[in-house]
Amino acid sequence: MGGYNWNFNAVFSYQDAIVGAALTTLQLALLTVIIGTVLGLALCIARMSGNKAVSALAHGLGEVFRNLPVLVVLIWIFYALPSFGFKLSAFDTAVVGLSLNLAAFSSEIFRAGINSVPKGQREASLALCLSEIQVMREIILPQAMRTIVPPLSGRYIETVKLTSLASVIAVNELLHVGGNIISVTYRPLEAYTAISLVYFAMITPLVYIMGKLEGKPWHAA
Amino acid sequence: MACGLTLSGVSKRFGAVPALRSVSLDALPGQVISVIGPSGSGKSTLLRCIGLHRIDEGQINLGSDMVVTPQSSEQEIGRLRNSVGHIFQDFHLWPHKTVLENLTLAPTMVKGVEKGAATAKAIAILGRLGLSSKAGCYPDALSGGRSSALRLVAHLPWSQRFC
Repeated sequence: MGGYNWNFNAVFSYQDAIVGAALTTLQLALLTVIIGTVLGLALCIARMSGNKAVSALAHGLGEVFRNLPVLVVLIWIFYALPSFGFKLSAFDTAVVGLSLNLAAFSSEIFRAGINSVPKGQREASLALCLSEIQVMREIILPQAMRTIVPPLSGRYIETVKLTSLASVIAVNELLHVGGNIISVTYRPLEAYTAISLVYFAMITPLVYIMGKLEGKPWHAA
Repeated sequence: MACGLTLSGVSKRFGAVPALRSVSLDALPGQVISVIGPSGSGKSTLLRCIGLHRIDEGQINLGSDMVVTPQSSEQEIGRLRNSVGHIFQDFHLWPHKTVLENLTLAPTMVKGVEKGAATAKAIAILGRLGLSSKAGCYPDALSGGRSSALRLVAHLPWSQRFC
Protein backbone atom coordinates (compact mmCIF):
# COMPACT_ATOMS: atom_id res chain seq x y z
CA MET A 1 0.00 0.00 0.00
CA GLY A 2 1.94 2.97 -1.35
CA GLY A 3 5.19 1.29 -0.46
CA TYR A 4 4.51 1.60 3.27
CA ASN A 5 4.47 -1.60 5.26
CA TRP A 6 1.55 -1.26 7.70
CA ASN A 7 2.06 -3.18 10.91
CA PHE A 8 -0.39 -2.72 13.78
CA ASN A 9 1.11 -5.43 16.01
CA ALA A 10 3.45 -3.05 17.82
CA VAL A 11 0.62 -0.57 18.46
CA PHE A 12 -1.83 -3.27 19.58
CA SER A 13 0.68 -4.43 22.17
CA TYR A 14 -0.15 -1.11 23.94
CA GLN A 15 -3.89 -1.72 23.86
CA ASP A 16 -4.18 -1.41 27.64
CA ALA A 17 -2.68 2.06 27.44
CA ILE A 18 -5.08 2.98 24.62
CA VAL A 19 -8.09 1.73 26.61
CA GLY A 20 -6.88 3.70 29.66
CA ALA A 21 -6.47 6.81 27.48
CA ALA A 22 -9.96 6.32 26.02
CA LEU A 23 -11.39 6.17 29.55
CA THR A 24 -9.49 9.33 30.52
CA THR A 25 -10.83 11.07 27.40
CA LEU A 26 -14.39 9.95 28.26
CA GLN A 27 -14.00 11.10 31.86
CA LEU A 28 -12.65 14.47 30.72
CA ALA A 29 -15.44 14.90 28.16
CA LEU A 30 -18.16 13.89 30.61
CA LEU A 31 -16.96 16.22 33.37
CA THR A 32 -16.58 19.04 30.86
CA VAL A 33 -20.09 18.56 29.48
CA ILE A 34 -21.65 18.48 32.96
CA ILE A 35 -19.72 21.42 34.41
CA GLY A 36 -19.84 23.43 31.17
CA THR A 37 -23.60 23.00 30.84
CA VAL A 38 -24.32 23.98 34.46
CA LEU A 39 -21.96 26.96 34.20
CA GLY A 40 -23.50 27.92 30.87
CA LEU A 41 -27.00 27.86 32.33
CA ALA A 42 -25.80 29.97 35.28
CA LEU A 43 -24.16 32.47 32.91
CA CYS A 44 -27.36 32.61 30.85
CA ILE A 45 -29.52 33.26 33.92
CA ALA A 46 -27.06 35.93 35.10
CA ARG A 47 -27.04 37.51 31.64
CA MET A 48 -30.85 37.60 31.50
CA SER A 49 -31.27 38.85 35.07
CA GLY A 50 -32.56 42.36 35.45
CA ASN A 51 -29.39 43.37 37.33
CA LYS A 52 -27.21 45.39 34.95
CA ALA A 53 -23.92 44.72 36.79
CA VAL A 54 -24.51 40.95 36.99
CA SER A 55 -25.63 40.87 33.36
CA ALA A 56 -22.56 42.84 32.20
CA LEU A 57 -20.23 40.57 34.19
CA ALA A 58 -21.79 37.42 32.71
CA HIS A 59 -21.67 38.93 29.23
CA GLY A 60 -18.00 39.87 29.67
CA LEU A 61 -17.01 36.43 30.95
CA GLY A 62 -18.82 34.75 28.09
CA GLU A 63 -17.14 36.99 25.53
CA VAL A 64 -13.65 36.32 26.96
CA PHE A 65 -13.95 32.54 26.74
CA ARG A 66 -15.77 32.56 23.41
CA ASN A 67 -13.08 34.70 21.80
CA LEU A 68 -9.97 32.99 23.22
CA PRO A 69 -8.64 29.80 21.60
CA VAL A 70 -9.11 26.83 23.95
CA LEU A 71 -5.46 25.87 23.53
CA VAL A 72 -4.34 29.31 24.75
CA VAL A 73 -6.70 29.07 27.74
CA LEU A 74 -5.35 25.63 28.69
CA ILE A 75 -1.73 26.76 28.45
CA TRP A 76 -2.45 29.94 30.39
CA ILE A 77 -4.27 28.11 33.20
CA PHE A 78 -1.54 25.44 33.42
CA TYR A 79 1.53 27.67 33.22
CA ALA A 80 0.47 31.22 34.20
CA LEU A 81 -2.12 30.61 36.91
CA PRO A 82 0.40 29.01 39.34
CA SER A 83 2.21 32.38 39.49
CA PHE A 84 -0.99 33.73 41.17
CA GLY A 85 -0.94 30.86 43.67
CA PHE A 86 -3.44 28.56 41.87
CA LYS A 87 -1.76 25.32 40.83
CA LEU A 88 -4.01 22.82 39.10
CA SER A 89 -3.14 19.33 37.88
CA ALA A 90 -3.04 18.79 34.14
CA PHE A 91 -6.37 16.94 34.21
CA ASP A 92 -8.06 19.61 36.35
CA THR A 93 -6.67 22.31 34.05
CA ALA A 94 -8.20 20.56 31.06
CA VAL A 95 -11.58 20.22 32.81
CA VAL A 96 -11.59 23.91 33.81
CA GLY A 97 -10.40 25.23 30.45
CA LEU A 98 -12.73 23.11 28.35
CA SER A 99 -15.68 23.75 30.71
CA LEU A 100 -15.20 27.52 30.49
CA ASN A 101 -15.19 27.28 26.70
CA LEU A 102 -18.33 25.14 26.64
CA ALA A 103 -20.04 27.38 29.21
CA ALA A 104 -19.38 30.48 27.12
CA PHE A 105 -20.96 28.94 24.02
CA SER A 106 -23.78 27.06 25.76
CA SER A 107 -24.90 30.19 27.64
CA GLU A 108 -25.58 31.86 24.28
CA ILE A 109 -27.38 28.74 23.06
CA PHE A 110 -29.60 28.74 26.19
CA ARG A 111 -30.25 32.47 25.83
CA ALA A 112 -31.23 32.14 22.19
CA GLY A 113 -33.52 29.21 23.05
CA ILE A 114 -35.26 31.05 25.88
CA ASN A 115 -35.65 34.18 23.74
CA SER A 116 -37.19 32.07 20.97
CA VAL A 117 -40.25 31.35 23.15
CA PRO A 118 -42.89 34.04 22.50
CA LYS A 119 -43.06 36.56 25.34
CA GLY A 120 -46.82 36.04 25.51
CA GLN A 121 -46.24 32.53 26.87
CA ARG A 122 -44.58 33.95 29.97
CA GLU A 123 -47.20 36.65 30.34
CA ALA A 124 -50.11 34.21 29.97
CA SER A 125 -48.48 31.90 32.53
CA LEU A 126 -47.98 34.72 35.01
CA ALA A 127 -51.62 35.70 34.46
CA LEU A 128 -52.53 32.22 35.68
CA CYS A 129 -50.42 32.99 38.77
CA LEU A 130 -47.57 30.58 38.12
CA SER A 131 -44.38 31.75 39.85
CA GLU A 132 -41.34 32.83 37.83
CA ILE A 133 -39.62 29.51 38.65
CA GLN A 134 -42.69 27.49 37.63
CA VAL A 135 -42.98 29.49 34.40
CA MET A 136 -39.32 28.80 33.55
CA ARG A 137 -39.46 25.10 34.49
CA GLU A 138 -42.90 24.18 33.12
CA ILE A 139 -43.47 26.56 30.23
CA ILE A 140 -40.35 28.30 28.90
CA LEU A 141 -37.57 25.68 29.12
CA PRO A 142 -39.59 22.78 27.63
CA GLN A 143 -40.44 24.95 24.63
CA ALA A 144 -36.91 26.37 24.41
CA MET A 145 -35.45 22.83 24.25
CA ARG A 146 -36.58 22.54 20.66
CA THR A 147 -34.23 25.40 19.78
CA ILE A 148 -31.52 24.52 22.30
CA VAL A 149 -30.90 20.81 21.62
CA PRO A 150 -29.54 20.89 18.02
CA PRO A 151 -26.76 23.49 18.54
CA LEU A 152 -26.00 22.21 22.04
CA SER A 153 -25.53 18.66 20.79
CA GLY A 154 -23.10 20.06 18.20
CA ARG A 155 -21.13 21.75 20.99
CA TYR A 156 -21.03 18.51 23.01
CA ILE A 157 -19.60 16.60 20.05
CA GLU A 158 -17.10 19.39 19.45
CA THR A 159 -16.15 19.29 23.14
CA VAL A 160 -15.28 15.58 22.96
CA LYS A 161 -12.99 16.36 20.03
CA LEU A 162 -11.45 19.34 21.84
CA THR A 163 -10.28 17.04 24.64
CA SER A 164 -7.37 16.17 22.32
CA LEU A 165 -5.97 19.63 23.07
CA ALA A 166 -5.28 18.45 26.62
CA SER A 167 -2.37 16.46 25.16
CA VAL A 168 -0.27 19.66 25.13
CA ILE A 169 -0.34 19.78 28.94
CA ALA A 170 0.38 16.04 29.17
CA VAL A 171 -3.03 14.76 30.18
CA ASN A 172 -2.99 11.03 29.44
CA GLU A 173 -5.84 11.20 26.97
CA LEU A 174 -5.88 9.50 23.57
CA LEU A 175 -3.68 11.85 21.54
CA HIS A 176 -1.04 12.12 24.26
CA VAL A 177 -0.89 8.36 24.77
CA GLY A 178 -0.78 7.95 21.00
CA GLY A 179 2.32 10.18 20.95
CA ASN A 180 3.91 8.09 23.70
CA ILE A 181 3.23 4.89 21.74
CA ILE A 182 4.80 6.43 18.62
CA SER A 183 7.92 7.34 20.57
CA VAL A 184 8.52 3.69 21.50
CA THR A 185 7.16 1.88 18.42
CA TYR A 186 8.17 4.33 15.68
CA ARG A 187 4.82 3.55 14.07
CA PRO A 188 3.07 6.97 13.78
CA LEU A 189 0.68 6.04 10.99
CA GLU A 190 -0.59 2.96 12.81
CA ALA A 191 -0.82 4.78 16.15
CA TYR A 192 -2.76 7.74 14.71
CA THR A 193 -4.99 5.36 12.76
CA ALA A 194 -5.72 3.38 15.92
CA ILE A 195 -6.59 6.43 18.03
CA SER A 196 -8.66 7.86 15.15
CA LEU A 197 -10.73 4.69 15.21
CA VAL A 198 -11.14 4.96 18.98
CA TYR A 199 -12.31 8.61 18.66
CA PHE A 200 -14.71 7.53 15.92
CA ALA A 201 -16.04 4.68 18.06
CA MET A 202 -16.58 7.08 20.98
CA ILE A 203 -18.16 9.96 19.06
CA THR A 204 -20.43 8.02 16.69
CA PRO A 205 -22.79 6.77 19.46
CA LEU A 206 -22.88 10.32 20.87
CA VAL A 207 -23.90 11.67 17.46
CA TYR A 208 -26.59 8.98 17.28
CA ILE A 209 -27.93 9.79 20.76
CA MET A 210 -27.94 13.52 20.04
CA GLY A 211 -29.72 12.88 16.76
CA LYS A 212 -32.41 10.98 18.69
CA LEU A 213 -32.74 13.85 21.17
CA GLU A 214 -33.09 16.34 18.33
CA GLY A 215 -35.90 14.25 16.91
CA LYS A 216 -37.65 14.06 20.30
CA PRO A 217 -40.99 15.92 20.28
CA TRP A 218 -40.00 18.54 22.88
CA HIS A 219 -42.80 20.59 21.46
CA ALA A 220 -45.88 19.13 19.91
CA ALA A 221 -46.44 21.87 17.34
CA MET B 1 -67.92 50.29 44.50
CA ALA B 2 -68.32 47.59 47.09
CA CYS B 3 -68.10 44.51 44.86
CA GLY B 4 -66.67 45.81 41.60
CA LEU B 5 -63.38 46.79 40.07
CA THR B 6 -62.32 50.42 40.28
CA LEU B 7 -59.34 52.10 38.67
CA SER B 8 -58.61 55.59 39.93
CA GLY B 9 -56.12 57.83 38.13
CA VAL B 10 -53.97 54.93 36.94
CA SER B 11 -50.80 55.88 35.05
CA LYS B 12 -48.13 53.66 33.58
CA ARG B 13 -44.86 54.55 31.86
CA PHE B 14 -42.32 52.40 30.04
CA GLY B 15 -39.10 54.32 30.59
CA ALA B 16 -39.79 57.83 29.33
CA VAL B 17 -42.80 56.74 27.26
CA PRO B 18 -46.18 57.26 28.94
CA ALA B 19 -48.52 54.37 28.12
CA LEU B 20 -51.46 55.36 30.35
CA ARG B 21 -52.25 58.80 31.74
CA SER B 22 -54.58 58.95 34.72
CA VAL B 23 -57.15 56.38 33.60
CA SER B 24 -60.22 55.83 35.75
CA LEU B 25 -62.80 53.09 35.33
CA ASP B 26 -65.62 51.48 37.29
CA ALA B 27 -66.69 47.91 36.47
CA LEU B 28 -69.66 46.29 38.19
CA PRO B 29 -69.99 42.50 38.62
CA GLY B 30 -71.53 41.02 35.47
CA GLN B 31 -70.96 44.15 33.47
CA VAL B 32 -69.38 43.88 30.02
CA ILE B 33 -67.14 46.80 29.05
CA SER B 34 -65.40 47.38 25.73
CA VAL B 35 -62.27 49.52 25.67
CA ILE B 36 -61.92 50.84 22.13
CA GLY B 37 -59.01 52.78 20.70
CA PRO B 38 -56.38 52.86 17.97
CA SER B 39 -53.44 50.48 17.95
CA GLY B 40 -50.82 51.47 20.51
CA SER B 41 -53.21 53.57 22.58
CA GLY B 42 -52.67 51.46 25.71
CA LYS B 43 -55.70 49.13 25.77
CA SER B 44 -53.63 46.04 26.50
CA THR B 45 -51.46 47.94 28.98
CA LEU B 46 -54.61 48.99 30.82
CA LEU B 47 -55.66 45.35 31.22
CA ARG B 48 -52.12 44.28 32.18
CA CYS B 49 -52.07 46.91 34.92
CA ILE B 50 -54.81 44.90 36.64
CA GLY B 51 -52.49 42.42 38.30
CA LEU B 52 -49.65 41.91 35.81
CA HIS B 53 -47.79 45.24 35.73
CA ARG B 54 -46.92 47.53 38.60
CA ILE B 55 -48.68 50.87 38.11
CA ASP B 56 -46.76 54.16 38.45
CA GLU B 57 -49.63 56.28 39.78
CA GLY B 58 -53.19 55.83 40.98
CA GLN B 59 -55.01 53.00 42.70
CA ILE B 60 -56.88 49.83 41.81
CA ASN B 61 -59.62 48.44 44.05
CA LEU B 62 -61.22 45.04 43.70
CA GLY B 63 -64.24 44.72 45.91
CA SER B 64 -63.82 46.18 49.34
CA ASP B 65 -60.84 44.13 50.42
CA MET B 66 -58.19 44.51 47.74
CA VAL B 67 -56.22 47.67 47.01
CA VAL B 68 -53.19 47.98 44.76
CA THR B 69 -51.08 51.14 44.55
CA PRO B 70 -47.60 51.85 43.14
CA GLN B 71 -46.23 51.02 46.59
CA SER B 72 -47.96 47.63 46.86
CA SER B 73 -45.83 44.57 47.50
CA GLU B 74 -45.43 41.79 44.93
CA GLN B 75 -47.69 39.65 47.15
CA GLU B 76 -50.47 42.24 47.01
CA ILE B 77 -50.16 42.52 43.22
CA GLY B 78 -50.11 38.71 43.05
CA ARG B 79 -53.33 38.57 45.10
CA LEU B 80 -55.03 40.88 42.60
CA ARG B 81 -53.64 38.78 39.71
CA ASN B 82 -55.01 35.67 41.37
CA SER B 83 -58.49 37.18 41.40
CA VAL B 84 -58.56 38.39 37.81
CA GLY B 85 -58.53 36.24 34.68
CA HIS B 86 -56.64 37.62 31.69
CA ILE B 87 -57.30 36.26 28.21
CA PHE B 88 -54.85 37.51 25.62
CA GLN B 89 -55.47 38.34 21.98
CA ASP B 90 -53.30 35.44 20.81
CA PHE B 91 -54.68 33.02 23.46
CA HIS B 92 -51.15 31.78 24.35
CA LEU B 93 -52.15 28.23 25.04
CA TRP B 94 -49.12 26.18 26.03
CA PRO B 95 -48.25 24.31 22.82
CA HIS B 96 -46.20 21.58 24.56
CA LYS B 97 -49.03 20.67 26.96
CA THR B 98 -52.13 18.74 26.01
CA VAL B 99 -55.54 20.38 26.04
CA LEU B 100 -56.23 18.70 29.39
CA GLU B 101 -52.90 19.83 30.84
CA ASN B 102 -53.61 23.39 29.69
CA LEU B 103 -56.64 23.31 31.97
CA THR B 104 -55.17 21.48 34.96
CA LEU B 105 -51.58 22.79 35.29
CA ALA B 106 -52.34 26.15 36.91
CA PRO B 107 -54.97 24.93 39.41
CA THR B 108 -52.79 22.02 40.56
CA MET B 109 -49.58 24.03 40.78
CA VAL B 110 -50.91 27.36 41.99
CA LYS B 111 -54.10 26.66 43.89
CA GLY B 112 -53.08 23.24 45.18
CA VAL B 113 -56.12 21.51 43.69
CA GLU B 114 -55.68 17.73 43.84
CA LYS B 115 -54.79 16.38 40.38
CA GLY B 116 -57.71 13.96 40.20
CA ALA B 117 -60.22 16.66 41.11
CA ALA B 118 -58.68 19.11 38.63
CA THR B 119 -58.77 16.48 35.88
CA ALA B 120 -62.40 15.57 36.61
CA LYS B 121 -63.44 19.20 36.52
CA ALA B 122 -61.45 19.88 33.34
CA ILE B 123 -62.98 16.85 31.60
CA ALA B 124 -66.46 18.06 32.55
CA ILE B 125 -65.69 21.49 31.08
CA LEU B 126 -64.30 19.97 27.90
CA GLY B 127 -67.49 17.93 27.63
CA ARG B 128 -69.61 21.07 27.83
CA LEU B 129 -67.49 22.66 25.08
CA GLY B 130 -67.74 19.55 22.91
CA LEU B 131 -63.98 19.05 23.21
CA SER B 132 -63.90 15.75 25.11
CA SER B 133 -62.24 13.99 22.20
CA LYS B 134 -59.48 16.62 22.16
CA ALA B 135 -58.40 16.20 25.79
CA GLY B 136 -55.22 14.35 24.86
CA CYS B 137 -54.46 16.49 21.81
CA TYR B 138 -52.09 19.42 21.63
CA PRO B 139 -53.51 22.92 21.06
CA ASP B 140 -52.33 23.06 17.46
CA ALA B 141 -55.06 20.52 16.70
CA LEU B 142 -57.74 23.05 17.71
CA SER B 143 -59.39 25.70 15.57
CA GLY B 144 -58.99 29.36 16.49
CA GLY B 145 -62.46 29.51 18.02
CA ARG B 146 -61.90 26.43 20.17
CA SER B 147 -58.49 27.76 21.25
CA SER B 148 -60.06 30.98 22.48
CA ALA B 149 -62.79 29.03 24.27
CA LEU B 150 -60.16 26.86 25.92
CA ARG B 151 -58.09 29.82 27.13
CA LEU B 152 -61.28 31.41 28.48
CA VAL B 153 -62.29 28.32 30.44
CA ALA B 154 -58.75 27.90 31.71
CA HIS B 155 -59.53 30.91 33.90
CA LEU B 156 -63.17 30.46 34.73
CA PRO B 157 -63.41 27.35 36.89
CA TRP B 158 -60.85 28.33 39.49
CA SER B 159 -62.62 31.13 41.32
CA GLN B 160 -61.35 34.24 39.55
CA ARG B 161 -63.64 37.10 40.43
CA PHE B 162 -63.10 39.01 37.18
CA CYS B 163 -62.37 37.99 33.61
